[in-house]
This record gives sequence, structure tokens and C-alpha cells, in this order.
Amino acid sequence: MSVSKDDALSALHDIESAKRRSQTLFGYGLASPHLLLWGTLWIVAGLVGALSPANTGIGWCAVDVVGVLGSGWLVARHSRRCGERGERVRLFRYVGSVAVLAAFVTLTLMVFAPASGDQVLMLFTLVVAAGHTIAGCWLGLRYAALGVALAGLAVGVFVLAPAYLSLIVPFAGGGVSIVAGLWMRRA
Amino acid sequence: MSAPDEIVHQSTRLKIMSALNALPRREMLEFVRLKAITGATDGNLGSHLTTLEKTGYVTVVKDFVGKRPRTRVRITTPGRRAFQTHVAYLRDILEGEGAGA
Repeated sequence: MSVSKDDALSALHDIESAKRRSQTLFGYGLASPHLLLWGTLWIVAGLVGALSPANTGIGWCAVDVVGVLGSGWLVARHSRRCGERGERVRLFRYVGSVAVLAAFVTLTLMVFAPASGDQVLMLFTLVVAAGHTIAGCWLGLRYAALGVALAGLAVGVFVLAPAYLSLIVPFAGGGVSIVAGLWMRRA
Repeated sequence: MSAPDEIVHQSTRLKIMSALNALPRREMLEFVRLKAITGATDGNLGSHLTTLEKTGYVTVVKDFVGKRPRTRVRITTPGRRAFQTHVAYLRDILEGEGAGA
């Protein structure tokens, strides 16, 4: 069997293309349970806020803790399948990411001192949306679609129905995240 | 210079091996995702997977999720080695060391 330069070039192109597609689909599969988890928690936080407005802050803190632990469990579960070295590296990355986010949240709230819960909700919704959209630029367009949908939704409600922001955004944002999670699972 | 691997070089099998090689060790790719990546039909993909499995380059795992059957594929260590050797061969050809046809 002999292979010409054109054949070799074409084969290497196919290899690169299949590799990229495989990594994107694999990434969607990994992201899906996280989106389903956080989408559900977002809705739970919205329910707490709707039923007991005085406990909105506690509700968000509680779902954040559950979400961080749940995502940590998902990362650990996946890491176990990748072997010991992969487990340590992934857990280290996860813990590092959570620490950075916690510091970011604390410092942002301290510096900007938002006057209302709606401002806090908008800030974090837009940060999450931006994170998804940036991920979409590098890892797969479905993340970007989710980010744009979240941002569009939040800004739309902020402009058109600001009085209902704290009611609509958690439910709609959670719903969009769940739909995106199912979409990625089926990719 | 390394030699071509006729099993790996076939177009669909090359895509299968590339897709599987891109995953972390021990990870598996579902049949439906592999189908989307290669653009092959069910029968065609199944046939190529059988060839790769007989050669020992991939492992096919069949199970059920609830009542739904699921087929997943994983690249083996010899399969990963064969794929990487073949890619090195292709690169050698482009760098002018190959015996082009």
C-alpha cells in the first residue's frame, strides 16, 4: 500500500476534523449534567424567593452550596474514570475555579455594593451568560447559544418588566439551562 | 520511517480512530456520537467497528440504560499506538520522506 502526498494531506485533515468534533461532543456530554443541576437549583432559588421573599438571600446561598458540592461530585465521578493522575488534576482545577469565583463574588459585592437584590441577580446572570458565551467561542457553539439566550432573557426582562425580574429570571434562566443541558446530552 | 496501517487508513476507520484517540484514557464514545462524527450509516459504522474490534484496536461495550440499549466504543492501548504510528507515517509523507504514489 502506498499513500500519496494528497492522500496524506486529506487524511490528516479528516483526522483533525474528527478530533475536534469528538472533543466538542465529549465536552457537551460532560457539561450536560452540570447544566441540568444548576438549572434546577436556579429554579429552586426562584421558588424560595417567590414564596418567602425575606429568605431570598439564604435560598441563593443554600443552592450555591448544593451546586458547588454537586458539581464537585460530578467532576470527581468523571475523574475516577480517567485514572489517578486525571483525578487529582481535575479536582485541583475544580477547587481552584470555585475559589476564584468565590473571591470574585465577594470582592465584586464589596466594591460595587449593589443597592438591590435585582442588581445582584442581573450581575451574576450576565457574568454566567458571558462565561457560557466565551466558552462557546472556544469549545462549541451550543455554549454560546446558551450564553446569548441567558443574556438576552435577563436584559429583556430588565428593560421590559423590571418589577418582575426576581420572579422571571430564576425560572426562565433555570429553564433555559435545563433545555441547554438536554440539548447537549443529545448532541 | 513508519509503515502505513491498512486497517487504520480506510477513511471511516481513520475518523473513528481519530475521534476515539481524542478522548481521555478509559473514556468511551457512544455509537450515536461516533455516527455523527463519521457521517456513516448504522450498518457501515457497525461493520468498521467490527473490523477494528477484531484487530484489537477498539473495544465495543453494549449495555442498557433503563430499557434503552446503548453501544459505546473505547480505543485500546494497541489501537492508540497504531493510530499514532499511522499519523506519524502520514506526517512523514508530507515532510517529503514518504514514497508518494
